[in-house]
Amino acid sequence: MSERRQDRSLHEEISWSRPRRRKEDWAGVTMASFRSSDYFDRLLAQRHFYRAVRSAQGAAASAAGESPSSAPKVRPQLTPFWTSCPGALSWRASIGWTSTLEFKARAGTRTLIWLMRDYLTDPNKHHEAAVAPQILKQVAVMTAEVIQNRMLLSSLRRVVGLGSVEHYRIFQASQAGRFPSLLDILYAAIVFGDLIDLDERVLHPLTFALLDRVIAASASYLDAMETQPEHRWPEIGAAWTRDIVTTLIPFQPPPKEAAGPDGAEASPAVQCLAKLAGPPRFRNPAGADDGQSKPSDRLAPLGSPPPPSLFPEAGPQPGARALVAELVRDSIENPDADTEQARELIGLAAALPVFLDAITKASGQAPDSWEDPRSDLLEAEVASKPFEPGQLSGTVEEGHEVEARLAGGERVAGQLFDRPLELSDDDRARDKLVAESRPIAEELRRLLYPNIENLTEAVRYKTAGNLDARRLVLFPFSQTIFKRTAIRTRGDKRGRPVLLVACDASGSLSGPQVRMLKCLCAAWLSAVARLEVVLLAAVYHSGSVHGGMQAPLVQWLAHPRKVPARRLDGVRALVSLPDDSGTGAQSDALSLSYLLEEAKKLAQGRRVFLTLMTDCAWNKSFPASPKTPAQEVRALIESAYEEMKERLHVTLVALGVSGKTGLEDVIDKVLPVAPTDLADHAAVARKIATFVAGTLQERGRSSQ
Amino acid sequence: MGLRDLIAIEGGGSPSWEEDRLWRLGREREGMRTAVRPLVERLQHYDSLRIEVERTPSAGDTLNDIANALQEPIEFCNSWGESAKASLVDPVSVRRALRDISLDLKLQVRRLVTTGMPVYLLARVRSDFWNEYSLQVEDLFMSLNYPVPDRRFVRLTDNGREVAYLRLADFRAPAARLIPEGSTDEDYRVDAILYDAARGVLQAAFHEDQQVAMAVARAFGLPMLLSAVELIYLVLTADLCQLRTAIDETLLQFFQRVYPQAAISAFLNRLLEMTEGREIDDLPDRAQNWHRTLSRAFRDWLRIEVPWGSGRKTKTPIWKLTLANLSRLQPVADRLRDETIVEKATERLAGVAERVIVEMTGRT
Repeated sequence: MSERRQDRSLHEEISWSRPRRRKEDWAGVTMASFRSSDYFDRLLAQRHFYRAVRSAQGAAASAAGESPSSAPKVRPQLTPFWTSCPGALSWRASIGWTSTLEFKARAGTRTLIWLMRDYLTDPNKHHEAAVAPQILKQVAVMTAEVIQNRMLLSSLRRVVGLGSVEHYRIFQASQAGRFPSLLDILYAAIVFGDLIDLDERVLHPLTFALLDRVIAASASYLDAMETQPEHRWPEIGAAWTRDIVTTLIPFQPPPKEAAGPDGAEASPAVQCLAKLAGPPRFRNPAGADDGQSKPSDRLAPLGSPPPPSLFPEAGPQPGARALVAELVRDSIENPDADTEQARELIGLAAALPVFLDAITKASGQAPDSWEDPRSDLLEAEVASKPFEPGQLSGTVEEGHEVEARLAGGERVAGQLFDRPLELSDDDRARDKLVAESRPIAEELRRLLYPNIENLTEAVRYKTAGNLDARRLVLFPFSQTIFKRTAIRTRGDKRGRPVLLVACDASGSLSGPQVRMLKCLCAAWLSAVARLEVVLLAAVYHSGSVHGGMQAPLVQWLAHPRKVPARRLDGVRALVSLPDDSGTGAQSDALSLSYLLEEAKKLAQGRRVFLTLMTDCAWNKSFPASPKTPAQEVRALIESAYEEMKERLHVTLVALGVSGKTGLEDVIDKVLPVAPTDLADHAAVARKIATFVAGTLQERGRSSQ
Repeated sequence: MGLRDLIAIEGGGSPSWEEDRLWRLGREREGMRTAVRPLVERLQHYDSLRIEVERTPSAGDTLNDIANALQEPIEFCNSWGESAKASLVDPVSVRRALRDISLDLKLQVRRLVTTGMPVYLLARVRSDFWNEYSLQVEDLFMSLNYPVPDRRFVRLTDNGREVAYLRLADFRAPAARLIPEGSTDEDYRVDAILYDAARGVLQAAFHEDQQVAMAVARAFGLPMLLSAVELIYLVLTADLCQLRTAIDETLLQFFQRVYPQAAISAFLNRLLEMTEGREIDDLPDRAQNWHRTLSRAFRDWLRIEVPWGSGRKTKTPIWKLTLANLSRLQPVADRLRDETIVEKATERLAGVAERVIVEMTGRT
């Protein structure tokens, strides 16, 4: 509790009337509360988490021989928080995952794969086996990579500050399923073998056979890793890789089989099924079959463990595809199938693509969905791509369905995402931006927002350390030991106003426009940093979300419920925006509608001051609406005025616009910044001074 | 909360008005069930086909039937008589159709790790804005093998996010036995019993963070640990004075017959016997101490090292094995239970859990 109260920036919007105690009230907030439903706990946990991640990334950089304060090369991995893994493991696994990737990103040529490059270019030269050379090469690279990751984990977990790497290994082990491919088998035997229960699993006999061979081949090397110094590990890793590749040779298909069934030996139905089955698979050496006779015209029960594939397969149904591959093999091995069987096979070949498509769609999530990725799908992804960046990284992204009412009663809807803008580590750039924006910030500081009053309050006297002996003697005569006063700015009984700064950061903004936008926004943030207004600030454009999808995006610079960083850090977030031009395509009306909704939620009936900074090159947001982009924005603002009446005040800062914006008759204030003024901060400061004076006059009139 | 209270909350007044209201609520519930019937029937049909292809060799016809069951549109009729079509290959459209029928309906899809096939949970929920978790009060349909890692919670998509709900659906059938035979409006009475138990006790006693302790308690046969953890959370999280006033015969019966939890049942009885406010006030402080003691004992248990590995046996701390195998802990526990070190540590932990229960309930 005490930690909460110290944190003033998070203290802004707390409702103290909780109906019931929560675990955090008696156990405290830990990083496991990263996704707590209570935004206060959530933000505190996120703040701790990002600090811990940064520190672990520093330790990883240091382990890689670089400066611990150098800029991170990977984004914090957040996927474990969205899986069903226990909270206490998820945050540690996230930190461990991030630091592992950070080290790998900095390792450069100090990797096993680099050291073994000669062997990995053509492993067949060393083995001279009667297998497809391309497959042998892929198997060798895959094996070297797995061994490299094992060594990396064993080495990193000994580094001070990187103990969480072991938690990442445990998290990754907990996602292991039926080992559908050789890669999964190698990871199970080499990386997670000492953690997971392999004997009791229901696996295909071939999977068991492969696991046994790899475990037996690895035992002596794992012992050697424990006894030998780390500088000898590359040597051990190279010998280990060669040994495992040798062990796997009897399971690899000969060149002819690897090429797939040809027209001469397979019917069209089998050819069709072979396409569905995907890449070539293992050869079943003697004794590694399940011993059941199967009809060669039917697909084996889907619930039975599928035989492993050589390489990880794209798509959600590797099990089903593996069974199809088995069926193809059986059909080729038994070409004397009667007409009935052949007919069944043709029916199966026709039905399978439709079936696979239907179950993929029904069990999946639309690629353009605004919803959070489902936990089961994320877990499957984690299991199939160990030691790779996950789908969720950086800051917390949320999708929203926005429904808006435009003037005239038209109802429109759209989807967008929001997330906090990541903070920049470039202190020099931040100082430069603060210096540039200072003249403007000085002018803006004079801008008074109504509903704020200065109060003299008695505050409890708290000593920092020992009691001051000079005061102690006055104890019987003076209240000074117990009391002192402070002047505090706060909202009056009508409540603190909400200031919403919305910045268009789309690709239509040129370099000078973006630089002026950053300068103005930084000035606004600095000017109100110590004011007791509720501050919301965001840039809107489009960007990559949920691992690659492009969508309308709002990135928060300041938000009391969504941004874990302090209000003053908003300027640091601004620095991370590129200087040369904006990015993406903005959806003006959609983003503004969402931003206004957020402001209204926080305002709860209080006044909202919207400052909109844009180049006025409007973009269409609602394809279903017949309105032009400019009409959409106009109709949205009109509708907001209709709803909020006197409680909304809009200022438009038109960047690079010298003429009319077309919104002068709708909104309260327009502050044009002509193209010639975009690089002239002094000129803009003068304009701001005039704007402030005008606003003061206007507010003076309205308060009379 | 009884049926009358429920009706009063919904806005009822005089008895005749209440009767009208009850009749209308009954119609609404009945209407909701009728509206989702096509979906339930389709899910049942699909699930029977799914089980068939999972267990027996399948031909093209069966696969076609499954594809059709998933692709063919289902016709929904919402509460104001409008019809809408949605198919299972587009789960978002089904969810939208359900939202038009009732906001209390949730459809959750999961992809089975073993086969890649979709499995479904169609649930009726009750939003509880005043507490940490909302309640899942009924399974309208649940596929066989639908994954539920902790039977006390279920994750459902709400407004685009996966959120944990308290899973009360499993208590529905036993709770119905608490209602006198021949009572009308059984559905509402069962709901009321579940709401009361959840608001009074379960919201405080259950927490997602208990997942590891619960899994260990079940796999290693430590029912005392399970009871002690729930009891401590209850004492620390609940408003005990409010809880004391909410205890009635039905609530006591709930923890004897529906969710048999001797520790909670004994604690509720003890709470009723407490006459001094100070005694109730002291309980959370004592529970904090016991929480620390139990946590320490559990940590000690997790730290023990056991021989483990396929082929090459190494000494591994049990916490690593627990977390790495959380979803299949039972086989791990079966292999470890006979190890002397595990046996002794488990006994020690059970002893501490028992002491916690005795201390908190005042009974042996």
